[in-house]
Amino acid sequence: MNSLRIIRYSAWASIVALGLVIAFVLLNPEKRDNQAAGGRIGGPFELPLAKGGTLASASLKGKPYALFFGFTQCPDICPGTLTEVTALLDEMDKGNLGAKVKDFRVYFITVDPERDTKDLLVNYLSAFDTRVIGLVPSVEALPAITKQFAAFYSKVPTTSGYTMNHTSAVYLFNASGVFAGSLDINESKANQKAKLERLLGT
Amino acid sequence: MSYASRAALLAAITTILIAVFSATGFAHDYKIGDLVIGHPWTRATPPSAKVAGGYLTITNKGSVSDRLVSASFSGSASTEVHEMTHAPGGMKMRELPEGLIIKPGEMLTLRPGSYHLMFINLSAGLKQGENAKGVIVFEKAGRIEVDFKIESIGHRPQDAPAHHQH
Repeated sequence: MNSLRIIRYSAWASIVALGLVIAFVLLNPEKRDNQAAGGRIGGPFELPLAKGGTLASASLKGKPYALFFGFTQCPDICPGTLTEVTALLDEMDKGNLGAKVKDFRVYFITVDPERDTKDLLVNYLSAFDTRVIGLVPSVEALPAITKQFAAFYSKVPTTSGYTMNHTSAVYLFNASGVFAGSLDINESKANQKAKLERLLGT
Repeated sequence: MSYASRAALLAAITTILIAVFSATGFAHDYKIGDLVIGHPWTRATPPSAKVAGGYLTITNKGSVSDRLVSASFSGSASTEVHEMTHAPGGMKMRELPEGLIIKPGEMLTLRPGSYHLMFINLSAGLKQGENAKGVIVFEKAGRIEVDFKIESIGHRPQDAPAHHQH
């Protein structure tokens, strides 16, 4: 019967499709690379500070730090992350990590240096914790610095101009400057705090 | 009636009145045709910020689909309909030039991390606790003026869909 045959064929087709999906998930080369690349995220850098001067990663030796990418014409995730980071630092100030929290820095690297001038970024970040420091790479330096952190960014044209896609994770680096995991805006505050305490406690 | 019981009655009435008034204030709903617009809100902006997101719910109580065609905001040069999606490790944005369809019987939620109005080129910073006027235009139901309540910079609704179902 014709309809029975169709059912049989589609059942077989679904099994084959499921098999392909499982194979893809298990063998996905991108995922394997990401896991293997853990130690390669980061490395030496030198970037212009929004408030003037330059930040060289060599000067951060012995101090754990965090870093993330964003832009000020971002309606949600960037101010959201900055607010959470501010709240986290505030909360950790009440803990027993003392000077370690006071000396901790969170670097905000703009992926939109065309519109985010140094002055604008300083002004923008004044709404958040003073330990959040703005960095403004040159337009030319942006591809290399994002690549170094395995971050992505791209311009998305809109009617009025453009908006941007970008990596939203907050990267953590330990006192030796080695990548030590990341914070995600969607994970619980308790989780984020535990990760930061672990980073600063060691 | 004793003084104490009169005082108690007065307190009870006052409590009820306050509850009723604050509930109406909180509901902050609008009706246009078959559509109900729930609690339009936005966020306060850091200094120098040029953009803000606009959020609201739209419930279609009618029997035909309608479409949010466009919107405008009193404090910005332009307004677009955008969608944000979470990509692995990051976020992606795109404009939805066709707007958003609201099917009959459905509630569409514009919220952080998803569909939102994008207020572009703000003329001034948005301040927490204030309200700002906006206009939403629907293909069938027409245009309606609403007040966007300005929440704190990083405000996140605890449970957006449940919270906004009035």
